[in-house]
Amino acid sequence: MGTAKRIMDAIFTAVDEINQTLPPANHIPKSEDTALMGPESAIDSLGVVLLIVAIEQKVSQALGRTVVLTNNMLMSAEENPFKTLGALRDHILGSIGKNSGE
Amino acid sequence: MNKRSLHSLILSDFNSELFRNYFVQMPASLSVRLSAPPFGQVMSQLISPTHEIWDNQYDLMVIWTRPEGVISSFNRLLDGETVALETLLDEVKQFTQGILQVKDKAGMIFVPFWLMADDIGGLGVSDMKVTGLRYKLMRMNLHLAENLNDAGNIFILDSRMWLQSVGNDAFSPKLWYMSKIPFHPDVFKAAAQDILVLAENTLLGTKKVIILDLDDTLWGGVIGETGWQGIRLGGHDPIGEAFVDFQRALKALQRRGILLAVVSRNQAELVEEAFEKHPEMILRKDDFAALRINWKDKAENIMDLMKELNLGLSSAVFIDNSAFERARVREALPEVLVPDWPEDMMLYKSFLGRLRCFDTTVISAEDQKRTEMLAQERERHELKERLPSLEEWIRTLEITVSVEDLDEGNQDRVVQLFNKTNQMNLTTRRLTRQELIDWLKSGQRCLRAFRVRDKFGDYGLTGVISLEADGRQGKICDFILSCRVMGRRIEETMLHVLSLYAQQRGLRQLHAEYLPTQRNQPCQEFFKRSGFQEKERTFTWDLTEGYSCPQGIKIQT
Repeated sequence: MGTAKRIMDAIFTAVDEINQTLPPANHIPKSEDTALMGPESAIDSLGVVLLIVAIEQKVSQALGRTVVLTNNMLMSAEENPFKTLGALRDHILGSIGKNSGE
Repeated sequence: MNKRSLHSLILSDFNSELFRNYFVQMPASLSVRLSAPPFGQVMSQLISPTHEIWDNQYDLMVIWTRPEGVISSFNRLLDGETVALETLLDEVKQFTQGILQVKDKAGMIFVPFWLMADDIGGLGVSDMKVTGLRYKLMRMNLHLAENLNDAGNIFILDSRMWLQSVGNDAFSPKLWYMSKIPFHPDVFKAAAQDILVLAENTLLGTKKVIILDLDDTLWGGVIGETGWQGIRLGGHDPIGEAFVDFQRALKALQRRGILLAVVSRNQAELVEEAFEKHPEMILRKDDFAALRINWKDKAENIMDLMKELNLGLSSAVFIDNSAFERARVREALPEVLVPDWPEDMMLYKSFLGRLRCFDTTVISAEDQKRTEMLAQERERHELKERLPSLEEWIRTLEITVSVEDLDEGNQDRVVQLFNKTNQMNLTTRRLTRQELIDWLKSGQRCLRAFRVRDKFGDYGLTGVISLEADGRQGKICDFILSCRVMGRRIEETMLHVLSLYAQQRGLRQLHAEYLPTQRNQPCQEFFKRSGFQEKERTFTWDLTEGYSCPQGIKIQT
């Protein structure tokens, strides 16, 4: 399985976990296009925090290495890598590539 | 059917949104509402009687804090300053005084005890010495428990269990820094589950009977093949030891008032021999309130057994090592709780310990004596069979009924009767302790509680009747009698006592409006034969004549 697929699967596992804490009407859709921030996002700020912390954990487990996302959570909207779940996967993929010197 | 509502409040020094999400979303037999006012203001909320949160009365309140969030001197301790134990305990006392100030605002109040994250080093290896952080925190927790001990509706909860279920990640620095949530979401999930079960058990009633299979459930092996000498129980055998421990745990539950019963496909003579002769058998035949040892279908046996015990099927838990039997009982009797049971016999005791269906905030003296009472009941029925009439039986029983007002000593039991009695219950009005106390504040209302005993033993406090006067008319608001004394003329005695009181107050009539439920038909049947005049669902007694006391019953006031 490719790294991108493993990251996306881990992200979706985290989404499942967080959906358990949210009322059914507020469940986060498991799609690459799901918006996490900005006007299109259906997730409140607590939901985003919980999701990012869970994604950190699940992706770290899936890749066998530490992935830290929470340091970038307060970046401005233009630079923010958390616009969608798909963008987040790309950000993680990019950051592990950089860190491993690929 | 409408669910009973559970109006709840959480006060915390942290963001409790996760707790709230779990608490209101969990599948429950109650309709749950939870108010969560702004966090971080616990002390000011507790000591401000005019705060808007106190405009409401709650069924349940959770006061969940971190020691550093409410005890400022503990914070100084965390910073490495020297703080005398007395200073800490004084502050704990102020905190508990705040809690006591609002104790009447909720039917039950839960206070999870204080914990400290593992990454706080304190004094290292000396931290459990009297100057250490952990030692002082333990003393603070003890002080918390002691100061709140006498409040019957306040309970300290062991929050360690919730954290242990999550493990090393239970404290979450990330969630704390980003959202002021101190714990991993699963800690809140465990807490919500735990507290909800306690609320359900308290308001809807706990399980009362554990029905056990025998072979490979109460002991190892098949007695029909080996005789009592060959079963695995005690001895130098890990499985045998595990079964002894399992029986001990069952015995401890029995001492708390949970009935034990047996339903087993077996030869009765072999089983009796085992109960009598096995030297390491902890549970003996007398420990079981009822036994069905035969080759019949287990579901059929369970129905029969519960009928003998005069309890509804929803009061039963069925434990059997056979997945087939469990599935059969689950399907045939969905009201019976049939927990999954481990194949590993050494885990039986742990599984039993994790069942929360017996936990409640109310364990009355009556609960604790239930097995003894059932033995007395067997003797009464044997006597009844020997006598020609009901009147003769009642006369021979030498029944004495004591009449009491509501007081501190009987409140728990009266509230329990309000909330658990289904059959002989005129209106099935469910009330918390505080709601009942508030209701009785009007001078137009009164309540009488009835204790019953006879020559075989004490039935305990088993009856409640309440009256509301309106001019010269008296309305019987509650008429509640435990099923254990139904049909012994206690019903008539309660009406007699109430009619005397009503006459003294100058009332002219008593009215009882029957509100039907799925289970209170026995109450309607009683009123139909009571001599009260029936019109639609209202039964009326003209007080120009007192309601006579049944013969053979002695009343003490």
